[in-house]
Amino acid sequence: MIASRLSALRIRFLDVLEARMAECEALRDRLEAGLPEAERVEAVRAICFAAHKTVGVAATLGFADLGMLSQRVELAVTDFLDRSEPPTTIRMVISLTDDMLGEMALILAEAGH
Amino acid sequence: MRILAVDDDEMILELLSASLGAAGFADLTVAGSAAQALEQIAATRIPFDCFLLDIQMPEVDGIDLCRAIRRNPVYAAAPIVMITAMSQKSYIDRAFSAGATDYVTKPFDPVELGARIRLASKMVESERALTENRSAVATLRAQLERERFVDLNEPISIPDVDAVIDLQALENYLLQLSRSGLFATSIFAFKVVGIETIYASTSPIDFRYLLTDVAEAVSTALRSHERFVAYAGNGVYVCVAHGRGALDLEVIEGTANLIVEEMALTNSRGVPLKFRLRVGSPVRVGLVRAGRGAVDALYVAIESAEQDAPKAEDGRSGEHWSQFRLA
Repeated sequence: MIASRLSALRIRFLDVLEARMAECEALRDRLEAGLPEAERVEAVRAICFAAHKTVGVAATLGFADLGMLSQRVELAVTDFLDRSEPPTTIRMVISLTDDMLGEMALILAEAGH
Repeated sequence: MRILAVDDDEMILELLSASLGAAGFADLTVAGSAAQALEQIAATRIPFDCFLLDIQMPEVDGIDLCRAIRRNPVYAAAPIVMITAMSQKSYIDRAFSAGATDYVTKPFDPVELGARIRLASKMVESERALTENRSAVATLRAQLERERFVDLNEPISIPDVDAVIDLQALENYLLQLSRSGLFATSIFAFKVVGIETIYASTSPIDFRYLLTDVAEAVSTALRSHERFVAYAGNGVYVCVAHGRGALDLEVIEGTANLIVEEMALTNSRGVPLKFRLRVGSPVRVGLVRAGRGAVDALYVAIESAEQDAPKAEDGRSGEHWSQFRLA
């Protein structure tokens, strides 16, 4: 019974993932284009939130690599916002976001989305 | 067992429902925020037995929600399991300080989650059995004494003392810390010298008050360190302390004994009680021990305190009981 419920959840997750990927792509492009400080912080927070939501579910539903890549994004953004040492740059955040987006695209392509 | 799960992600709530249902825990109520959870708690006629809380939620996070639940006397001892993707040590520490009894990181394994909830269920059943065994015929004082009865070796709960948590919660905390989280961590234990004599000549309520006062002394002696303390039974308090510099246990032991002396504990006849706390050998963890190894270190430290502590010089029981401050 749990297998069938997880299977149904996977289908829903893929739908959510499509929307989430589009959102993160738009945020990532805005970051690369350059933003004033306040908007940049808002954009990275939004990416972090999307990554956090993905971490929570991905691996449990069988998408372990996506879970790992999303967690890296979340940790990088946290360090960036906390101004941790050594410093995490916006370029690093964008690069890790690209890795996460790549994995999302792969999953969706394999699922026929 | 009635469970309340709180997470702002609907999918997680569905995952929890599927996993817990498969493990045999079908009585699950869900809430999408801390505010909704508190409304559910206020509205329910039958109290919840166990809580599953996400940490990162908008407005009020899971740690503050945990604290709010603990303020309700009905839930003072209820199992609270944090389920979250936040695996950093600071979040784990904050969760246990707020009253969490266990911690599961996402992605969670449905089988492991079921095992954790079964453990929580045993805690609930044990508490319920104790409650049901009370005699309705006894006088109010006898009832109170019976409720408060504690076996000398029992690792009882000591609520409302800063940084003091249950032994089971401390085990769960150590299991959750990664190897890096355990770096520069020491585990050691205090022993009340002559506890057997004190126990033999003390009423159950007074014995509980003593244990609470000593817990306060130990926790205060360690207050300049990140620490958790748990009572392990038989007058032993096991401590987990973090810090890059070496802990000076001689100073800490001395400080704890000074605090006990300042408390000026006496028996009900006003005769001053003299006992000492003795620290056993510390166990360093992190590089050498992690996971189950760190939990084993807990029991090595407890045994060390039991072995290192000398017996009471005076074996007589007559003068070694005390009237303690009310908690």
